[in-house]
Amino acid sequence: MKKTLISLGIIFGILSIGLGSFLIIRARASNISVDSPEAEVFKKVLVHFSKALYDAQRYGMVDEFDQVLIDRPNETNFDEKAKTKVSNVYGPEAASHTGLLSVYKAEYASIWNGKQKLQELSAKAKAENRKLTEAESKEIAKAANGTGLPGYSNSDTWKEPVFTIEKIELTGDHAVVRFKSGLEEVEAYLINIKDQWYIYKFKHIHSDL
Amino acid sequence: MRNSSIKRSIIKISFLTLVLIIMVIVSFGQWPKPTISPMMVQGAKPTATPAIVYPYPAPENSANTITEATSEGLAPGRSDIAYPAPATLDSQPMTVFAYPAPGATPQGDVNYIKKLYLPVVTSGPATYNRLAAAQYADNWTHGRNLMFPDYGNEGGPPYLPCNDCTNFVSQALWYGGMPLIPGDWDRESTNERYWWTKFCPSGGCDTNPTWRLTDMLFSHVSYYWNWDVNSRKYQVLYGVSLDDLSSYLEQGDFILMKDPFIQESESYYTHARFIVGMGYIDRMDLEPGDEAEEGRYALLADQHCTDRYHVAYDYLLHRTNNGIPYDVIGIHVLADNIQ
Repeated sequence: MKKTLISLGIIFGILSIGLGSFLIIRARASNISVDSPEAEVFKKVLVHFSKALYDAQRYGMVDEFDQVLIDRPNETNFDEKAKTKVSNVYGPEAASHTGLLSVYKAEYASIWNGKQKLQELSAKAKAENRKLTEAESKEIAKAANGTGLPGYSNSDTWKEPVFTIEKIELTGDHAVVRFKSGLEEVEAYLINIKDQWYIYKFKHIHSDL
Repeated sequence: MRNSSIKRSIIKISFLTLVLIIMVIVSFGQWPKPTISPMMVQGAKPTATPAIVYPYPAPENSANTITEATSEGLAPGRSDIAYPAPATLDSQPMTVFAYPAPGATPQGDVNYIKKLYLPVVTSGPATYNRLAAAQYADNWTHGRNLMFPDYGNEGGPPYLPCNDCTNFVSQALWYGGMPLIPGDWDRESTNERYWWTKFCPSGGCDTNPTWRLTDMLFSHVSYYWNWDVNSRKYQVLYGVSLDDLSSYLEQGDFILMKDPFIQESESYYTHARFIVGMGYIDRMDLEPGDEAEEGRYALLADQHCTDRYHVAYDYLLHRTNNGIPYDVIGIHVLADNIQ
């Protein structure tokens, strides 16, 4: 009986060591080669985000962001100004969990709304052969929710981007992808939920602009 | 009894050993590389034609509409004024301006600061001097005027990253005659109404956010364009595309921009360029491979971080971001209404 207990104790100890090793390895980040097939998954996420941006800029289609971004308020650091903007567009409930997704959607929805209002009131003023009134200017600013209404050239067409991925670090269901986007070096933070990767944070590393 | 106890122990040992082996295989074998199947690649590119047809007027129309509808002193023409530019970096002046006046009281005295700067607000020129602003930008593209706080140099120490672009634009505006707007003297204030610097080395050597942060400068100009229309100093060129901005901008104006791929915080605009007028592109700050740009007649800009002298106002903004252009907004100074 004593030997049995000793044997079980030894086995329990070994199992504990094995379990500990398992958990430690599981928690440790590992690098994936940027040329590996796995890296393609992350490239496609970035490409998809790029297309979502394009459609949001040109067509006001902000819902496409849902497929590639996600709110993780505890991981991001958006301030009251951002929350106010989200609240103005999507209501106070949305503002309570402001993250990357809601910020992008609110930003581009605001730009779209502002442009619609600008177009509408400018056409009206032109038809009446007058300038925009003060009230109309404020109406446009309010519709734009404080955004700048950047213009986009109609001659630009969507081209699938080529990203230079410099590093991919995996930790469980999280990943950090460092890549070069044009002149900007950026880190994207992703999480895997139900077999889909979502970006929940960007971190700017360097600009050559 | 003893035999059955041994058998039970052996069975237990075998079972637990099997579990251990499986765990070790899982630990050191397949994992930690995740299994990424093609099914995990979400977001197949949408193939459907967007339901919303882009309704914004064509660039020509939008430009005309805005001009006719909202212009207040907008001058579509540009200043083709040739002005002396430093031929080399060495020739650029590095004068520390004698300001504040000799005998200034030590920094930190709020009353002193108010006394010192309030007159600036009321004594500035009524008209913005575009040439003076552009000359200042040219003179200090590759330098840092010690009269102002320095928010970073290329090649500077790691603890001081290069974030001086908006500070540079504000300095040029000030040299063009844009009056300081002293306010609550809180360097972190989000009140967009104010725009000030405390001069160095003896004036406090500080700035408020609208002076040094791109997004706050945008809030500042938007405030005067949208909400304080009786004292409009700037026109925000809403909805004008990057290409069309060349028809609206002139010497002494500026542009703000952002890589839409980066949204770290609410700070939307992240970079600023100062427009110095029409001229020939200088080769000094072109990227390798862009030598053909040299000598092209274009609307020129200067900027800090990366420091670039006499590049095209839209330099690098078209081909970056892999098909996604920078979000760019033009700011036109209403030169006759800066008080």
